[in-house]
Amino acid sequence: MGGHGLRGGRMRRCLALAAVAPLVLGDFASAQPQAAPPVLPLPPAAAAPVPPPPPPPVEIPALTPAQAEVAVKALRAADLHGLQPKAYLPDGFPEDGQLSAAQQATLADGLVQYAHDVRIGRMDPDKFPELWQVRPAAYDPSPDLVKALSEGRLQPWLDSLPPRYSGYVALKRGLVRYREIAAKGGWKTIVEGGKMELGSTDPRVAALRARLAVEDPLVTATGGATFDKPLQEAVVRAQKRYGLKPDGVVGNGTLAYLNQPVGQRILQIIANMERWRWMPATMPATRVQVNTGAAIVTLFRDDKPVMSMKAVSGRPGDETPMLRSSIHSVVINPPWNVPAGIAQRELWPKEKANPGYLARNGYRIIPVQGGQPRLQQASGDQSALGRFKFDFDNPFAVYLHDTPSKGGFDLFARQASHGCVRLEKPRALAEALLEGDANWTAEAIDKQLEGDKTVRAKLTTQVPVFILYWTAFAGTDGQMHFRSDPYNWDRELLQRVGVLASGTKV
Amino acid sequence: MFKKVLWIAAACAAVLVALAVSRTLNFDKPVEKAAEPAAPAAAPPPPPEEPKAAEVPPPPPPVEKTPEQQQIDDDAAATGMTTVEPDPPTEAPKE
Repeated sequence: MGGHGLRGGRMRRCLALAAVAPLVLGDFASAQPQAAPPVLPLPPAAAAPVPPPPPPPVEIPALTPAQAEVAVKALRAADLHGLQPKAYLPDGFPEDGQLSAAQQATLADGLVQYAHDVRIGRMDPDKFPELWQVRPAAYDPSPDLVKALSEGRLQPWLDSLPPRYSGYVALKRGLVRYREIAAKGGWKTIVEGGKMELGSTDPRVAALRARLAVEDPLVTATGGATFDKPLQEAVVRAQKRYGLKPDGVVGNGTLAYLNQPVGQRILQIIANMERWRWMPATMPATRVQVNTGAAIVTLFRDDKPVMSMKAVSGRPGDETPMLRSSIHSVVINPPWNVPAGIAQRELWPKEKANPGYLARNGYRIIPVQGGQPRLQQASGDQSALGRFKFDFDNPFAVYLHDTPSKGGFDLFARQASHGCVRLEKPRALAEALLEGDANWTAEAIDKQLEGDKTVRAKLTTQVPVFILYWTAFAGTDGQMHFRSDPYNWDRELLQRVGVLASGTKV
Repeated sequence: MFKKVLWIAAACAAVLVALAVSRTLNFDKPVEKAAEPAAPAAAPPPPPEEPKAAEVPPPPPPVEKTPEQQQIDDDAAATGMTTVEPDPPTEAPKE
């Protein structure tokens, strides 16, 4: 589908910003009609699946006193997973395992709910926003619980429920750590003011040092009043943890991140733990992963990261959706079929104000019988899609692609596209995905790039792609890293699962 | 014909003679082990040898990552560490 089948509001957003790029790159003289680019047929609409009849309710047998103790202990510790113990077990519930029939029923209900929440999260699968397409499969824990009880394996079963990914486990550790920080009073806000940098004797330097020491074990909370080299290095480390420009200078931008209250960070961790529960139980060994929150792309091969690059993801209002799909082809020298909305809002007004704008920038007007003519930008260096496009099926017509606007990769907040993901090193990714295809050696790609002819190189093996949204994660340094929640999806998620409304423990 | 009978009889006789000789030589008797010198009654058993520290191989030095690999690993952490944690140790059921 890619740029050929853009439909509807959310589906029309790709690359309007990139359409401005040709202005910078100079005129494009040729407006000669070209052969229509190959159009991938839309996948046949799947027949609406008939939901299977609901299974009969499973009766949970009474727990033995030892099992009840294990269960109560697990539910009381639900906050380790960012969940709320009170949601599963009322206060004052007996912990010695001696339960009445009513208490047995309460405990069984709590166990089933906890198992559901810790495994697939608290979001109702029917209430996911449209753009959150990474969703868990439905899960009814009752049969598994009955089996675990009958086999005397309740504890191992409970241990098997949460996500097993390193990213989730690291967040769990981070949650404990940031709650400890909160319990000790968190950190103090540093008042805004002039820039603090190496050599500064600002009276706020002591406060800055103390603030950094709370999160960074390499910093000593006490020290001189001068902004010295070790403090500068600590600032650089903090800026890296927050995805800021690591220049070692503390302006109001860096201060805004440092002054986020610890409770906010805890909520961010909880929101990201919730998202981990939507991931599949296992990942394919070879895959492309995108984090739109940090605008980073990584290629994994044999389950190991082998390539990464910066990206530019959708801007707020034109958010790149969370989704999973499979890259099936690389289009070399792609033309850009301009979505109608972008043409209407941005390109036709430019043509009106500056006649000849479209022709100069490589657009041709394609008449449509009985409708508005559509625009197509020719392939080549001025194309908003650059020289490479990575196609995968999805309902939003988003894809990964090259861009002529390379300056966007120098920014540290890179949410600027209309929903597609622009890549810093598309050629490297293309070569990696086409590796082993005798038709698409590096030389063959070079030859293709000498001209502007559009070709579609189908991958011999499709490569899964996961477009995800993470704003809290543990770095290779073991420290928690945070991003700014550019789409405001952390807050939305926490509200949808009732964490923000219910005054959860933070 | 008579000659053949004589030859067969001679061959059988030779086989019988060979069997008789082999029996007298005791070929199937196990070979006796060489006698070991008797250990002195008062000699204590030798103490077990202490493992030499030098024999323990030193741990391999940590592999230094190139800046490029470090960047890739940092980026991988940012895109979600989807490597799987090892299984927790299994305990015998207590319930």
